[in-house]
Amino acid sequence: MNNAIVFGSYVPGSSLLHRLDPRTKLFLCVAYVVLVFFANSFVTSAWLTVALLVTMVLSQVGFGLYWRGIRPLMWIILITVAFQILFSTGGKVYWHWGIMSITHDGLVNSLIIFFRFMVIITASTVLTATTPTLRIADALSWYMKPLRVVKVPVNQITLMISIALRFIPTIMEEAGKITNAQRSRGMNFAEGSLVRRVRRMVPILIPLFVDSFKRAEELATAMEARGYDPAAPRTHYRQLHWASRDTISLCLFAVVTVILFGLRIIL
Amino acid sequence: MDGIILKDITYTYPGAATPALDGLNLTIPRNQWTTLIGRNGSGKSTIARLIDGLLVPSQGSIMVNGLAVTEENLGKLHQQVGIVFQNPENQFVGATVADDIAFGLENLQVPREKMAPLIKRSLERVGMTTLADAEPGMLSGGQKQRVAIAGILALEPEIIILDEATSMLDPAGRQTILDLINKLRRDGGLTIISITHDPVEMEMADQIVVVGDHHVIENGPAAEILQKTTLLRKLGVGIPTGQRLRDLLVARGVTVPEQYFTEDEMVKWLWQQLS
Repeated sequence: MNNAIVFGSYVPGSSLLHRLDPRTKLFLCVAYVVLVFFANSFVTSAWLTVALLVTMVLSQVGFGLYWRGIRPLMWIILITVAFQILFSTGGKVYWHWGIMSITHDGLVNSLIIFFRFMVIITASTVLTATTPTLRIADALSWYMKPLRVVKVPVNQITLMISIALRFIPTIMEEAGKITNAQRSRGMNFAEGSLVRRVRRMVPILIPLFVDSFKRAEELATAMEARGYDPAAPRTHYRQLHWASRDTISLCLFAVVTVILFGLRIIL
Repeated sequence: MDGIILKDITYTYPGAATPALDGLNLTIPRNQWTTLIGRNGSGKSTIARLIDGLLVPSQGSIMVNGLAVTEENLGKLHQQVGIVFQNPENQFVGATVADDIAFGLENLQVPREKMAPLIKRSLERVGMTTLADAEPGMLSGGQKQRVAIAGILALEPEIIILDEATSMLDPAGRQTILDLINKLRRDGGLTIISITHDPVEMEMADQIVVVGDHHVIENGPAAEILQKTTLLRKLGVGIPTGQRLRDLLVARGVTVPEQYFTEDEMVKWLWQQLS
């Protein structure tokens, strides 16, 4: 349990990608993920990979750090790919045993899935490595703005997200303290069957919940004392600035998209 | 009308059998440092929350520098009265120091252009300009409390309440906060109310109010109250070093002038006697 899972992905820097508006980066990341599903051949996939590699180089974040972002998910990817290879049918059969078989289509499908996984995870790592979590939340709340029309309390949601993010390290620390306190009372978290280990989490979670509620109450009082009124309008200190580099990035992305569909038609 | 006037205040916490405060009358003078002392659960924090309108008394009225504590005045009240709470962690709203100070300003709908200079100035007053972009996890408890004070100062309040604000800090952190409050007092224009069990903090105050049994037991100049050692012992609060030394000297038959001595004054007086 440490904050690295949540915050560790951000790599401070001042590259072009770091300086891009978070709204641009969030949009590009989502749009790229959508594009990945349109890549249907080797050439189109290669084209998208090249585009991703260029952004990775532009981000000035070492490839080793990207690998660290993918590594924790490697098992999920490998298991999915293995299932795809063993359980999908169609095309020429190379090997089979019971319900398991390796077929031509299965191999192709698993390759596509492997590619998609890798590229999507890397693309989102590019986003989180160059953008602090908080700025992503800012971008997200900007995209939610139109929802105000249908009476969604966007401001409150934004504040909730930012407070939740701000308290993650605090609550992690608290969990660590409680774990140590239980350990000092003779609790052993490392032994026993899975079910037993999960059951041992209960004496950590209950105090953690009680503590979190107490924190929430104190925080609410402190916020009220500082004049917070959920119903009242507020001004905003943190603002996002659109620059020409954002427009250029969007244009470049449009070029990538056009070429991708061009390749699809030609091939 | 000046100062904070609590008249015939009764407050019972929801679900409690006995009232936390019962017919309490108290006047806190303007532009002075008043310390509330008393046992845990004597109602000190309740008084602080009532002054800021965070709790509504079941009976009685409160005036804060001529402003009645009522539902309509809450916005103005929250701007005029700032509270620094006990736990540094649970009052830090923003993701960074600057964001946290901005929080109060955003609530007051201060235009964005005016925020940056206000934030800078209040950070200067607490000596934290270099940490404007720091995240709360990177700050010590004392630094977080300084940010809390800066957040209050940015709103240009008239009253600042420290609700055991130094009790969770290490001695060094506590000292920086007390030095800071002392500096703010010298700058003038602030009414300071502190709730504490710390003898050093009590000694710094102008006035001391002793709260117990749901009302005010004693109220007077700090030097006068701190001489009442039996009362302090009964309350279970610490006795300031100077006063304790004086009592010990008297017990050994040394004649000490009938006046309150802080630690420094006691040292000076002893030097005079010995030289």
